[in-house]
Amino acid sequence: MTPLALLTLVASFVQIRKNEIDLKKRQKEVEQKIYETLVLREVGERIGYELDLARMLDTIIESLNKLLPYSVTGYLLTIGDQTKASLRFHLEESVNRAFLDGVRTHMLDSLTKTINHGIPVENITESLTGTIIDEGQKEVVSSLWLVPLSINNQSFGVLAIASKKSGLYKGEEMEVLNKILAQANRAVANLNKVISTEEEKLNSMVASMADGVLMLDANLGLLVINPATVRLLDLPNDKKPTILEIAAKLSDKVDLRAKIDESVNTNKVVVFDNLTVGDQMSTLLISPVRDSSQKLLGTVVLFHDISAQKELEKIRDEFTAMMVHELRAPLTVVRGATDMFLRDSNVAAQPQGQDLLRTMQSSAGTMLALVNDLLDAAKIGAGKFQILKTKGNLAEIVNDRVTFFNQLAAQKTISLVAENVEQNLETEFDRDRVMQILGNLMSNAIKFTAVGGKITVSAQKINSPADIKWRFGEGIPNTEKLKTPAILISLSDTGVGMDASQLSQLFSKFRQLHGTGQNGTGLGLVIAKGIVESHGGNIFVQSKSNEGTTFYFTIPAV
Amino acid sequence: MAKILLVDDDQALRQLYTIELTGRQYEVVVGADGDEGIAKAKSEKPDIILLDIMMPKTDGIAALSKIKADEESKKIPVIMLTNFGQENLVQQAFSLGAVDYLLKYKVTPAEMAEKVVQVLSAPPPAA
Repeated sequence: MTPLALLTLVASFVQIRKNEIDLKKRQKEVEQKIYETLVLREVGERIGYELDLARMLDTIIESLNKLLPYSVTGYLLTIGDQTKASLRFHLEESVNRAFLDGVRTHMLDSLTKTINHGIPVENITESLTGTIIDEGQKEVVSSLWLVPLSINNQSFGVLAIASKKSGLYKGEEMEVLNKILAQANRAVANLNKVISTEEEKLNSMVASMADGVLMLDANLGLLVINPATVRLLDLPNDKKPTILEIAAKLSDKVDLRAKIDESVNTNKVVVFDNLTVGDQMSTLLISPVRDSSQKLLGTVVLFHDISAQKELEKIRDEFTAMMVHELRAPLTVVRGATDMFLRDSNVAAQPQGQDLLRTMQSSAGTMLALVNDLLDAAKIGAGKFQILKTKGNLAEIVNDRVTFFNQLAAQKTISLVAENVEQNLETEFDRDRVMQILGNLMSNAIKFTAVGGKITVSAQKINSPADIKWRFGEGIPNTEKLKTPAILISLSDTGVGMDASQLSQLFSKFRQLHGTGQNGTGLGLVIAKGIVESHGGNIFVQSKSNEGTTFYFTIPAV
Repeated sequence: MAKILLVDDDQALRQLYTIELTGRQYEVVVGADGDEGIAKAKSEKPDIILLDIMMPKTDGIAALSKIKADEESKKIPVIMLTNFGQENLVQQAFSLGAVDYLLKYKVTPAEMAEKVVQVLSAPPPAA
């Protein structure tokens, strides 16, 4: 029950208390109000779901018998440009044809006044529901009530209630009908709003689609073209192009009209792959659109952007090529060397031969490490990477790796030093895996630092992200998810550095940064990140072109 | 004794080919990237150059075009010695004036050396 109805009800009860003399009369009124309210609500709910004006009016006239006595009710609705109309009668009881014609004449007169022109009877299509016409009935229209139908002051029809009985439809009792129509009015207005909102939603969806969309009618007239298509085909922005202009833009790649015809004739989606326009690679999809009776309404043409997919394929291909190269080089050495030794067994005994044997050994080691890296990266990618934590002092590991990599750094006259490494960094970690992280980061730093540069490794316990001393003031990483207390290990180099776009793809698989001029699989950082995260730690990077890069990673303290 | 300039960024491969070539009494000088290759083609005046393609700084194709554009080094025969066999690279190398194109993973060090012998014994081009 609506609050208003409830209030009326309460008010009525108050009245009853006051005037006990009027008790019976009031009670009847209250009952009538409750009944009306319930019917109103039911009608309201039903028309609220109707999407069609005629069906909404059907609902109303079917419900009227619950409120008013009548013989015939009906509505007359104008169609299109208001030169035609449809008329629907609901016969609650049998009447003769003359009765209906009389009601119709009154409805037409009323309509003519509101729309300012008449509609000839032959332009009116009529339908009947309810009981049958019976010429045996002799009664004429004795009571008639006409209500003009309008939405937002726009007249579109008239509703009629007619009875054989006289003296009906006067004054107050018609209030309820006005209420119903007002409700219908609101519902239609709301409905129009919903429809236009949905239309807007659809339009903005099509407009915002990254894929190009064309909708054509059955005669190849352009109904919809979205901005993505305009951009893709470099069409003028100010006017809607024709299908001929669109087809002309594609003429050297695909015969669009032939593809549309093919789609319509075969009644299937036609697919045209690898359509390159500008720098975009698309899959062209053309689909016929038919209504429920299989009548052709038009076609939809979709330019599905597959550039990103192609880019991914390219990255994968490049990765494969790089992998092949990384394996081929050491294998070429192993095969070439064995070939040499087999030809001349003396070579192996000579100092040069001994060197070559050591090279073979290291080549085999390189390949094995590569295969292990691939396996690790695959496990990390699949979420199946496992670590084995034991208690230990991270300071020892850091110092050990600095000493180990000093030799490699010295070859490039790079100084690799441990600075600010706290002595007691006891926690739980996977010893081999943390050594692997440090190894990956150190060999990267050596690789990307010029001769004479410096690499500094530090390790401290931090109690909050605020304890981190960032190397650069700008580009401070987001430490929201950083778990503390933790051991923070940082590794700073005076290398080439990176810009923001390079930093963003640093930890992604298959991507060694282009143009670094360095060999490598690019898996090292992916694995380092995987190991750090398996420990519940975080890895960050700061870099500045030509100044250097600092990697930071944490291992939670326990 | 002929002098060979071997340009390759892979230390292990340099070692392997150097052993093979010095075993045949050639003098071998090495370069570790394209820039070194271009510089040594002029300063060392080698009789032949073995040139890798994928190298840091200047790659082998760019190095080849510079070697062939320089008056001092343009007459030195260059054999490409690489693990990349894409058709466009091969064509590019030959059009820039390479005398041969060898794939490291296909030829043994001995076969590579025989190719060097063959090129060195061929009469110099008329131009």
